[in-house]
Amino acid sequence: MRGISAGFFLTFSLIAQTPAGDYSIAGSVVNNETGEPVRNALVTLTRVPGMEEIQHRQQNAQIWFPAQKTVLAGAGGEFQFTGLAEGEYNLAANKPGFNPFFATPSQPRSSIKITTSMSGVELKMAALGVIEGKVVDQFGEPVAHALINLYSVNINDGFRQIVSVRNVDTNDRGLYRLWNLAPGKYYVKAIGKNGGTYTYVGDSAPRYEAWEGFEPVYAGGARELDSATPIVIVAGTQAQADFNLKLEPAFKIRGTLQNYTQHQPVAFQLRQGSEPVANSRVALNGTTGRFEIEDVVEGSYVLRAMQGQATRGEIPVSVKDGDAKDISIALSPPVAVKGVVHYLGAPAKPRTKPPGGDDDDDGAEAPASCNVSLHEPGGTLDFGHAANAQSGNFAIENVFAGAYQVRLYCNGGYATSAAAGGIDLLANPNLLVQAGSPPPPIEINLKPGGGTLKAKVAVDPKPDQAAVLLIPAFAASTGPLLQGLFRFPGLSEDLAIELPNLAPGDYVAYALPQFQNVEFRNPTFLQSLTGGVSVRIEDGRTAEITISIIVK
Amino acid sequence: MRLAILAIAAALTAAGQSFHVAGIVVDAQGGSPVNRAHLILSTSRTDERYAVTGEDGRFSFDVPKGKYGLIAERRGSRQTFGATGPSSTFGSAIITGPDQDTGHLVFRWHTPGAIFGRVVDDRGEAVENATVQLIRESISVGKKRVAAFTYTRTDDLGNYRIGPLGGGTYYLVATAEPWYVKQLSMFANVRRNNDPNQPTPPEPAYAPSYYQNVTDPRSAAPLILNPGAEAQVDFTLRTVTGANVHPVCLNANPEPAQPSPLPNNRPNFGVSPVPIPPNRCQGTVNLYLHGIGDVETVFAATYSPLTGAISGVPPGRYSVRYSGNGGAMRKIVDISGGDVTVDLAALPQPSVSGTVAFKNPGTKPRATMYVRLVNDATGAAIARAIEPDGSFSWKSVAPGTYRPQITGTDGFYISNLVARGANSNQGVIDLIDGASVQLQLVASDETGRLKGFVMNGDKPVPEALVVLAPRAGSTDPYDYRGFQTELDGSFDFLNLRAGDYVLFAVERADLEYANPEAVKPYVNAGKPFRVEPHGVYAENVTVTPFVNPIRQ
Repeated sequence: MRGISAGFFLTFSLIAQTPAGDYSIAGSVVNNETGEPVRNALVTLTRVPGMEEIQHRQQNAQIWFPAQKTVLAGAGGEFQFTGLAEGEYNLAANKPGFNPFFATPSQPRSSIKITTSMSGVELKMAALGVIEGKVVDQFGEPVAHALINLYSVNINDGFRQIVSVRNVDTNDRGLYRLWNLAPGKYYVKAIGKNGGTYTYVGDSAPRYEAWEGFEPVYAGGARELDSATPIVIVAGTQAQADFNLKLEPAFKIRGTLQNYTQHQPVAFQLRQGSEPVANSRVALNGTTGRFEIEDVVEGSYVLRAMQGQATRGEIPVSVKDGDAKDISIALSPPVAVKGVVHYLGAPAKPRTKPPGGDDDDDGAEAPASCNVSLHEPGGTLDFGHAANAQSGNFAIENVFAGAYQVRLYCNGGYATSAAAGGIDLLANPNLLVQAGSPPPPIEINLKPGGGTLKAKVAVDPKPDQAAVLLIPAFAASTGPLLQGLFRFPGLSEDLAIELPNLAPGDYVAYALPQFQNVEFRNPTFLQSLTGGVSVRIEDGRTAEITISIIVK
Repeated sequence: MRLAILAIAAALTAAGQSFHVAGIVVDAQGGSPVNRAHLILSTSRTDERYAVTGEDGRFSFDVPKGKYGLIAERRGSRQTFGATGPSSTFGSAIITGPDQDTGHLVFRWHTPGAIFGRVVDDRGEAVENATVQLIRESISVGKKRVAAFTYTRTDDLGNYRIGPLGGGTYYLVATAEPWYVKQLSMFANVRRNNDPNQPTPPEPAYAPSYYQNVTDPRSAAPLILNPGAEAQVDFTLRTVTGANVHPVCLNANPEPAQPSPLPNNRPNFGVSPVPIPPNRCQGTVNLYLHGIGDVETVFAATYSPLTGAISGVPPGRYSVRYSGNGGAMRKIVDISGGDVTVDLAALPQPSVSGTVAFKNPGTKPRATMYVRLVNDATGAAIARAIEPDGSFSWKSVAPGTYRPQITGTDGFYISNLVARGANSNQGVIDLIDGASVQLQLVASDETGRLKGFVMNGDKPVPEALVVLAPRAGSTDPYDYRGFQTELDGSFDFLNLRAGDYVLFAVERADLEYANPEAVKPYVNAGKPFRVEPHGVYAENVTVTPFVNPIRQ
């Protein structure tokens, strides 16, 4: 039986619409790093239609679909396609645990022209990475059902964003495994016992084994991402990341949800600082809204409860030397945060391009406008955008109670002021949204125009790329600005940039070696910079500077 | 120190006298002490005391006179004192008092085991993301049941592990879809979308594999997992030609959807240029494999509303379930290959509502009462609190056969049940899709109480099973009552439904006491016993030797 099935599925001619011919193509699939054969990879040969053929089909209103042949590579990674007509083909290989292959070694990222039979074609596949490890406690015993979270870190607009990639549970031997990891820099953190909200009906809550817990910790023992060691994955990396957890007495947080909709799911999160959190293990009475959070070690938290997208509530809770009792969380619907942009001087020009449209410089001057967005602390979540309408009014819908950072992105001018209920958002860009009532409207005064800076980076040897970081010495709506500079190969000019629409005032400009992954909104990073050039920007005028040091 | 002494003195004065509850936790097999076991001694959920064993396995409490439950937790497992196995629902309470020796307890800890293994296909390739389902045979409410217990998925190496697991009888089944099928079907689907007359080509599939590597569930072997043992179970998935299942939703789309026009005959992927057939199911269609004991196995199969088919379905008996436009529907079909059309008529899921009246007006419960629907096949239950006006309702219940019950602290039970809109038989109602069921329940408080000791000569017998079986026989497992005697040999049946019983005791807690066949030998030799409404009785029972049930 086994032999029959293996033979039966050696080739798939399901989609074989390729024109028949006498040519063949043969080769093997190999692991790019080890050179070992990759057996049982799915090799796909797709015919690329020629221009004439495409035109012919279009004229005859024929529907085009790809002509394909598929085969599973053999035990030595070998494959062969026969009966091929002359023409252009794409070859691709696929297998779990490998990056898909879409090119040929001789002609990377292009097609193969078959004019005669070919053999010895090598398809190289890059293996994906693995992180695995063991989680033990201070007694050397494995910790089961620990939730292991995998993160990557992105820098987005100068803010650091921690992105949760995936999470897994340890098994009863305390082992975990994360696989199919694309090359990159990762962090692994044990964030608690796995589990979500268990909703029950009746008098007695389900019993959890929850007398011991642990503080969230990165592999290696760091408490925070800043001091954690990243794991670098390249093709085929098999990384080991073990945890030594310190189990501590765990307590419960008991309380009741107000405005709870019966029998509807609720997610609870215990938050500390700005790092991502997972849902906690909770028993929730589906009738009364009484809850019991498990596995809480001593500490100060913000307990958040979310009933779908409809309501949310949070409360600070301190757990010390026993259970926290009689905690009440009021669930509230979101509110709309509204605001208006007032134009100073010249009236707002009608919008000629949709937001997000192409940025071709067609000579038409873009109207002055602002984008306003709210962000959760730590910059982990982009809460919502609002481009001002022509009237200048804007609204960010569905904002739950909480503290947000307000970010302004204005173009065609600069904000002379931004305030909400007497709070100067340029100096203190934090907005507190109270449950149930919208905050005072955000008022922005936008002055079209502004000053311009022409910056030249003159260093020797001339780099192909650099970036200029412009830091205002006052509360400007932009905050620090970063602009990349790129030089076309062969040109000998210095790198230069022009920054328009700047708020007047004093600035310091730095040259950085690169544009990507610069945490230019992190005050610690800004303080570490030296070698800047001071410049004063005046409204309606252009200042010119030359920077001769690139900050390393 | 002084505070502590004062506290102890106060406790002694308040409680009158304190009694010692102490002992050792030992491995039930080897007898060695079990360290770091967390013990919970309690009279209720709100009155708990905790202790942790040291290296010598010893624990100790000092408590007032009373009746206590004792639970031990260790590394994700929880067991009750006096339980005959890790999956037993029974335990024995500890009675403290001047005449009781509670200072020399031996808590037999049943070390959990695990099942692990590897899933490969008939080419010897590891199968990633295969589902390994564990089905357990256990005694629940006095009856042997075979029910889905848990499932897991394999990692990239094809490995899986399920633990901690108590000793017992298990069945296993592994299912998966060959990874390359999705790649193959992608382009086939594009072609079919463009041309609905294209036949659905057959797809390779993996036949489900039951322990030990058989494809027919009737040939599946039980796996007896010894306490504390780790069993290795490997699976080889055989490649077969799968069937194409075409679900037809007879009332899904009364109006055929209009085709979206093709712009300029450009190649299109995923957009259907032809009208969607009127009976094409627009929603989710899932397949569940009927395996051991008709337990439904999660089966990975993808239904595409675009193609209207589930391809690559290996032979077997399936439950085809639809949910989407028009509600839900399911149908059981036998699939052996080829193209199979399954007609479905989507209907809303069953709804259940009703009222509870009291048999004896004037009796009022002291605490919240609940109506429970216990699934007759799986034993799983859903509950709703009864409103002050006696009403209760579920908007939507998964179809199945259910036994309605009344629960709460006062021991009310259903003495009469009238079901409108559903077939009912001996207290079991059949909920089918589209049904709107009205239940009229009569709650009776005509219960009695029986307490006493199980004796062997003049010695009380702890951990013996006392049974009250209905004299007239019954198929309702809840008409039978079982009680495992406490440490002092006592038993106490609360809330016994008034009626005629037969009373007996046996020194085996794993007797299927609600199975008429299993209790037959004891019923003949047992003592007839009548419980009058509100009667309170004291009766000692002599233990009967265990009779091995005759196996067919």
